[in-house]
Amino acid sequence: MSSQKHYFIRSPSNREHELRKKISETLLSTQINIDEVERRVSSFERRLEEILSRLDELEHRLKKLEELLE
Amino acid sequence: MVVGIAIHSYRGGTGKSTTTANLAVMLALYGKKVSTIDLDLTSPGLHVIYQVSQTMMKTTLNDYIFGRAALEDIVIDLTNQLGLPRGKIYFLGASMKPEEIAKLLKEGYSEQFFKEVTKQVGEAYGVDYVIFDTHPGLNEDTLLAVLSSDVSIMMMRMDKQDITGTFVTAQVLRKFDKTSYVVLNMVPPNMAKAVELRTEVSKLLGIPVIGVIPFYPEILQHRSKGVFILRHPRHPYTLHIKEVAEFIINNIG
Repeated sequence: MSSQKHYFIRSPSNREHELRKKISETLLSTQINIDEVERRVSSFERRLEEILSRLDELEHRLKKLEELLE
Repeated sequence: MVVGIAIHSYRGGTGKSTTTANLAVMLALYGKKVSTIDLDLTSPGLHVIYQVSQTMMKTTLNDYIFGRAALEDIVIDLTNQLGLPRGKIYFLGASMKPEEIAKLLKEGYSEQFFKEVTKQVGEAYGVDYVIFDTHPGLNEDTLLAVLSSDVSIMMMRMDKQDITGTFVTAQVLRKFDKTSYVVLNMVPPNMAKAVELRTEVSKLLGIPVIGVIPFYPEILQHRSKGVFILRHPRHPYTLHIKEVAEFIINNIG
């Protein structure tokens, strides 16, 4: 570890203001079609439900198979 | 080269601080030098997991940000306290004093701060990774933290509100061409078993999923008393954290 101490000195930076400004502008201008977002998320959830049902079904069959083997 | 990683989420309660602390320790166990910075400035909590009392934190990140203290005065080396056989863990904690929180929220932090603290921690301690535990949400300051880091890791729970919010966050981050990854946390165990889960979430968000961590009641029972993976090295949770750490080591930096 170096013996020199490190301090943070705030300095007015154009780049910083640019990024903050860009973030602000992006947040204000981002047009989110909430109906479309909800449609996609709902479709994702349906797909997930299908996958989970298939998993349940597989586990059920596996359990039956194990019982038969016993 | 130091790599800055921002851990964030759309909503609170997704396990950002728990993941940050455990991931940092796992990276250290791989021999890495890691610095963790508590940027959840309105509700700092990383120090609780690391079992660092506020009295141990004589000066805080807030003092550094306002030029009242040097980096070396606020950094706490936790390597020995955590009993790590290799690697290094450094911690920079935020103040819990309401007036300090209010001052920082009023004045905001700058992109310069992220660049500078990452650079200085690299110079002074030779760290490989700086992990920022951010405040949740889609606000200017949090986005500044995320966009000023090299990589962002979004934590997401599998509930509709969080999925929708993360989807929107991913759309915003895409506008900045930010390298982002997702870790699914507290996933219902039956869902975590589905091999298609990663692909489906990645497809929805347009961001790679690098970890699927099931819900383990033991994590809640642990109640943030120390770093879980150190107390339970063989627990499945530890293996999931290991997977994320390996991804970082192999792909980031």
